[in-house]
Amino acid sequence: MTPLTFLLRVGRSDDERLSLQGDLGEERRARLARGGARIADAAREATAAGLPFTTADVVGDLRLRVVEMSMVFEIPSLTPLVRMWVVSHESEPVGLPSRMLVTSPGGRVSTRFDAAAFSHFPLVPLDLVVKSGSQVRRCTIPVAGVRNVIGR
Amino acid sequence: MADYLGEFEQLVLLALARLGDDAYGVTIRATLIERTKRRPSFGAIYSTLRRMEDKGLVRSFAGEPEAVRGGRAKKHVVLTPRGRAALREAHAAVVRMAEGVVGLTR
Repeated sequence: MTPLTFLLRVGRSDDERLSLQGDLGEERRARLARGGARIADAAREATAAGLPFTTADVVGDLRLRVVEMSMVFEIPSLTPLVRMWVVSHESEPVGLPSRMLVTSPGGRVSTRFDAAAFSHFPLVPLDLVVKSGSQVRRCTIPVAGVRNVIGR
Repeated sequence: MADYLGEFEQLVLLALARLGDDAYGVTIRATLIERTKRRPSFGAIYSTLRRMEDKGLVRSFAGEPEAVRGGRAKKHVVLTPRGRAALREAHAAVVRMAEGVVGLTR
């Protein structure tokens, strides 16, 4: 249980906590579906509410077709930085490289997954390249606390 | 003795009166944002609702779990007769106080 999840329980009945989490989740999905929200804001709210925020949620809420996704796991206390990238591609030509290669001094783990595999990942922190109509966008959501979104 | 209502309590009760059977956290918050231009947190709304339920001004009941809410149920809230009376009295008091004050109405 995260500290924030614990705080959410303080002074609230289980019914009220569940209802509150449901409200937060419903509003988040509605906002993302309208397309007017920053993914990071929604992810932060979800984290604060103790809600899971999965890759599948993002893709479903945005009603977008995923062209490429990559997840980055960082261990900042270690030097050199250890990273693992998980990249998924569709074959559709969208001007993106067919393979993403990440080089870190300490080592590298690189693999490829079918897009459906991402529904099993519990957290959203990821680089996301999505296609909506003819638009291709790249979003980056760092792992630690969902700090930022770059280049939306 | 009449129930005293704080300003935010009045606003929440007015939202409930507007929403009728469709009053729960999301719709209450949306109504407050739309009509007051404030952005109250869900926490503030829930605290206020809980306090007013303790005073008998509102009543709540759980709905059915819904997929769009991650399988969580809504907490529906409705005005009680006592809450409606308190709201009516609070509004009347504001109207009486404002009566004759120059520059309040456009």
